[in-house]
Amino acid sequence: MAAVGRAASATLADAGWAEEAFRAAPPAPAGSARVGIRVGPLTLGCETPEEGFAAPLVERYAPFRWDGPCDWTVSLRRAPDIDMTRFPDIRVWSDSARGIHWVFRWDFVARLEPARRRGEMLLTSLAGFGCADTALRMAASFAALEAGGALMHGAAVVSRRGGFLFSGVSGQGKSTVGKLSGASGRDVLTDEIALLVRDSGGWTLGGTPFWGELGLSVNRAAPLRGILLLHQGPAHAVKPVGAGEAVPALLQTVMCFGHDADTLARTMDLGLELVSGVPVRRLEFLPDAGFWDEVDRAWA
Amino acid sequence: MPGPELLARKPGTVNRVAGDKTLVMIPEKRTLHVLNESAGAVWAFLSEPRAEEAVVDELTRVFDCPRETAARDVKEVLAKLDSLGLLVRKPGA
Repeated sequence: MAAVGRAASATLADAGWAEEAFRAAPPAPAGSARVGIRVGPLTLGCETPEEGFAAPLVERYAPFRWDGPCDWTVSLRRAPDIDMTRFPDIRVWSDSARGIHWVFRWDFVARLEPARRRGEMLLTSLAGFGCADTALRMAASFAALEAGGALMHGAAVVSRRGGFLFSGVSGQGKSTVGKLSGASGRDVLTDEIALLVRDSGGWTLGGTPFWGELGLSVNRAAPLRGILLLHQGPAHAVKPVGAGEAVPALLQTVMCFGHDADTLARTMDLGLELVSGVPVRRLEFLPDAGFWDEVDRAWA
Repeated sequence: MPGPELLARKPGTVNRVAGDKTLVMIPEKRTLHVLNESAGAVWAFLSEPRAEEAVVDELTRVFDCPRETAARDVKEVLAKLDSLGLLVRKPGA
């Protein structure tokens, strides 16, 4: 039994409360700062609630900054009177009839409407600029799905054979693989979240501005040669996996904030398309760069 | 006298076939269930409401196995699907 995405479900009552909170929240101040990014084919803008919010974003997203028009916009505003501490972890409620996804966390509540390519976020008094990063991650996950791709948890590395996604959830070794790959001279695009998009030549693997442990923000992409499902093991080995194992494993790593049938069906279809179009293998590895010998051998 | 109880998939579930596995999800729970070949065959047959006996007949045919074996497997699969919240039961007409 696995889960698609990582967020648990909120309730209809939570969504009703959120609807009211948005109605009651003060409007955004005029002239709030806007930060735009371009990640592969996705363009996303974030309207921040105050000037001080924007500066760290501008620095963090520097390689991905985009000043042109954006397909997706998320607007943040302060709502200091709301209390979100009953949501220690992120939770989602999807209103499939209206195409609205509500996201709750201890420091914000967000409303995302993929059909309008719009998102709004109310920030509590506890919220910091990291909420803007979360808002953009959520928007990017919907934008990627709409573009026939996905944001996926994994380490993205480019070797002389092309791009490889080392796919795994927290604790499976993404950052370890990233560190070892970088130390052995390979080009690490991310150790946290990669963007996979389909084009006429196949699938492309790209870096994103969404940081992991290594703090990487690399705006480059490469043709995707293969996907490796990470497993720490007693020795380095690349092993075949069937679609029945590969698809659920990949679905666990897709960044998905929609808990409605349509979003989940599209996500499942994406997993099937990936597995039919890209070689997927299981990588068992020890914490040393020797696993690359096995990868090179498997993709020789 | 009413007919036998009918079994059907829980409405709103999302499912896809991946190799020899069937993936089933209840959107609001977001949990992905991976069904093996025999459970997948039962699931596929339950695209319309069916009586348990009809499911047994179908599995006997698909897997070309003795009816008693199919009946035992179907009972186990249905109990599992039930425990996962993937089934609904309807009174027979």
